[in-house]
Amino acid sequence: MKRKYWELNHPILRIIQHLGFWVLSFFVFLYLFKTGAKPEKIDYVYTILFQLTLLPTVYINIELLLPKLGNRKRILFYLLSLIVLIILFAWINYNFFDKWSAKVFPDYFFISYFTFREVVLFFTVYIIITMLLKLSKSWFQVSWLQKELLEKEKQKAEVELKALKAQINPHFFFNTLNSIYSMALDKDARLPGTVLQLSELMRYFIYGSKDNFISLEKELIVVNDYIALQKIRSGEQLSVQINKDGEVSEQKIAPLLLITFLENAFKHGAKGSSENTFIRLDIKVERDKLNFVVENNKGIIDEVNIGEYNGLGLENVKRQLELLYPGKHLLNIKDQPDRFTVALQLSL
Amino acid sequence: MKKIIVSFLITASLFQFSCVTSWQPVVTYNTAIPDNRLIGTWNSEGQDYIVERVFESAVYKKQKNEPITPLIKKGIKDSILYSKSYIMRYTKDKIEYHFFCSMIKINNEVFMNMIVADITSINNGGDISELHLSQNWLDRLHTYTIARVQFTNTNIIKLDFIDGSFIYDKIKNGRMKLKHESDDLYDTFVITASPNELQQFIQKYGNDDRFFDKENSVTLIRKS
Repeated sequence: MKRKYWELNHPILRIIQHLGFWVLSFFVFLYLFKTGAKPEKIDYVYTILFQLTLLPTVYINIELLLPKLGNRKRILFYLLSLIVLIILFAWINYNFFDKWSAKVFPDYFFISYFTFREVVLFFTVYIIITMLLKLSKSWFQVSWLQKELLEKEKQKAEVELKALKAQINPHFFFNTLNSIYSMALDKDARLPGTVLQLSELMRYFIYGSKDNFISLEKELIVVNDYIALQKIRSGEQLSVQINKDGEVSEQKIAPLLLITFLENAFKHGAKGSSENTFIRLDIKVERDKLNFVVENNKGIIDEVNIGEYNGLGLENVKRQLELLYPGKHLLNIKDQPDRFTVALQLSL
Repeated sequence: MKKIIVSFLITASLFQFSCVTSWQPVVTYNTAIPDNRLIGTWNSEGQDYIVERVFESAVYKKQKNEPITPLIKKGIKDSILYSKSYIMRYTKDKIEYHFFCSMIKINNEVFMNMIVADITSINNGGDISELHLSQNWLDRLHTYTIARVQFTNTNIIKLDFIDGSFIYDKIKNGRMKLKHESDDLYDTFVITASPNELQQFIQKYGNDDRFFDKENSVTLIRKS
């Protein structure tokens, strides 16, 4: 992928950063080393030559030693190599100005204005500064990559969520249409009303559930409508108990989350052939917490066999919870021989 | 700037040529070496020079009770100024110049730094007021001249002075990195580098003949 100019590790920006550092360093040295009131030609020459001995020290450290040996396992070897590197180049610096420069530049006259120990100290401080700069830059790069990774994960999660929703909605309608199909076979007189309610629910599902979060109040209204719809088609043998507690105000919730659990309860319990089937629904809303429990007894399922798609709704909703409420939800599904209980605790 | 000019003129008067002037000595307490071969009366081109131990010198005896320069301090007997140094005096145009000389060995060569210790008029019994010199004025002479000392034998000493014009030329052209102060108006300068830097410079370039004013080398021949 082509990198942008403002990215920290872009080659052009990297060159500019390094140049900027050395130019700044040059002027700091120049004013530190100057012999008169203002820098003169010889000070420029001396500073350039002084920096030339620092350059390999710095780059051998940050480009070779640090990447290859700068880990916990090799830290002692790294420190040893670093000490050797500093001493070697400090020695070169000291001897260059103290001895060799007279042969290399016979027309320039300078000495080592620092003792060998001072040069070693100088190099050590400089290595520490450049290492800190390198590490802080790496830290910025890591944060940048983390941010990018998070952004990509978020995008991926959104794509996945859309796909999940796209699966949930048809799944719900598929089940409901199966129920309507059963009612039609029974020539049930409530069929027109049921179709009308289904139409209202479809409007919500299609237009109202596009956002990741909607108001809890709206979701609970839909829950009520959904129960009413299912009650119509279930008849008198279904007992639905609803307990609501707490005040619903500005809380938000992922759309269709509760409906999916309810749908599951109706599918496995309410439409069974056994008598006295029941669904118990407990909704407790606190300020930023929702406790949702749905319990149903099991009946003999007489739905149209949906084969491999059976149980798809619950799996989808589990994945939705992982994506939308990571570390903020507690889902407990208890599948007993005679009853099925789903308990969901959500931090809103 | 006035300091530079005065120091330069007085120091240059010693042997009538351009020698370097340094604000700091090249010889320090720990590096100073005594060499009694220097003691005696010497002659160079008709001019007599008398070298004696500091303790035995007239300037010491005079200033012992009346210190007038920071060079000779009462009560500091174990300093290079007393035990390891010498006073060189000569008379010129009825003025007696006293130079304080200390030596150092670098690269097996002996180097000497010289500084004005006193200037007196022989006509007025050594009364320096006749020369319109004050304590403040003498303080301004606090600069050193540096020379290489070569003992040909016990009777001949050759002094190669560091060439001030060479050094100044190199400094002005950005070829030499040596701390200094210059006076652009009179085109003079004084080296302000530390003794350690001066020693390092001599260590590195002490064998470079370009540093010495060979044409104006002074050969002292022993008279007594």
